[in-house]
Amino acid sequence: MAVRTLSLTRPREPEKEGASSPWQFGVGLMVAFAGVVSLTVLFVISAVVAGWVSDITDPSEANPANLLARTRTYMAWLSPVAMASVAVTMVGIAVILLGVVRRLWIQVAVMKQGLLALKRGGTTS
Amino acid sequence: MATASQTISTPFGQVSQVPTGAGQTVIHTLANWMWLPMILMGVMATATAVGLGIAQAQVSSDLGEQFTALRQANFETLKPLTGGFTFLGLALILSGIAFLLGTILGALRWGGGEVQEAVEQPVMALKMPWSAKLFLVLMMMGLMAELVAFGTLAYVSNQAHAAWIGASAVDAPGNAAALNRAAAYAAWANPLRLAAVGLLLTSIVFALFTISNVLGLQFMRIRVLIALGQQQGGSQ
Repeated sequence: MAVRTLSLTRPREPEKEGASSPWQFGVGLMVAFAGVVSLTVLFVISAVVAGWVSDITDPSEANPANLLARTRTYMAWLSPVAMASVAVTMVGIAVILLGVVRRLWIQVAVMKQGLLALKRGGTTS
Repeated sequence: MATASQTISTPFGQVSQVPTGAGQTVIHTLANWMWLPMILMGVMATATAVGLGIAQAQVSSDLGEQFTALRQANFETLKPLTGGFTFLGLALILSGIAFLLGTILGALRWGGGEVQEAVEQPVMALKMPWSAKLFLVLMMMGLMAELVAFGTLAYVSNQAHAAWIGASAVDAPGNAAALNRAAAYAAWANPLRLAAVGLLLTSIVFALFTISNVLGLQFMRIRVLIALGQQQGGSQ
């Protein structure tokens, strides 16, 4: 049963040490980067909204009620979307950690082979 | 050779001999099972929060055009619910990451055992260190606190709806008692959801500390195995 639960984290076939990085590293970095880019865009939008908030209290503003409604509309979706971007970055971290676990199992296989060879040959070279 | 009851003190913690083929502990197996469902549930909760946020934005836009009690009630209902789902999603994803770190600890224990078995040496493993115990306690506390905060925010949204459904104007709620209840519960539920995320992040710190200690022990053990291998090979 325990082996079945490891099917996602432990490679079924032993992979060669020194082979290209597991796909999880590349995908995880891209996902995390997408989250950060999204947060940057949202930050710029927030700066625009902050300008509207400032205008609401401006005595020369013709229609502050409309501006308040528009601000509330933007704030309503900005906050959850920003937190979702943070969540996307966290998912990227999780994908990279999955790659770390798989790389760890590859190291175990390599280590077993190396130590056995060392035991038989008695040399580290 | 060390016996099952023999404990050795190392800079990385108490080490004892474990039976060959012992694999992982129940907690490691649980981590192997739970990390993916936790992350998937977290993604679903976050997607729900985004959907609720967009709905709230639409209601807010309608409310700006014309006030109705129903629109105001819907807006005030969606506000705490969106926040609740957002932080529930974050907490579930963080718990998934914590379980993945538990999976790494399990891989180190099981893999370390396999390496030691392969060279026909007794399998030595760390006894559960205090940092691992703290990691588990903090993670469970964080997840429970987040669930309590989510439940409370659901109640707040219910009370907010009751408060505003009979409203006559933007600043005149229909049920002042329900509004006060909503405000009182929201006052502590909002900090609680942040505290829960803080607990989960702290648990991750302790998991990383434990991984660092386990790695230190594994490297120490490998040095011993290499030295033994060289001695045995040299004597042949």
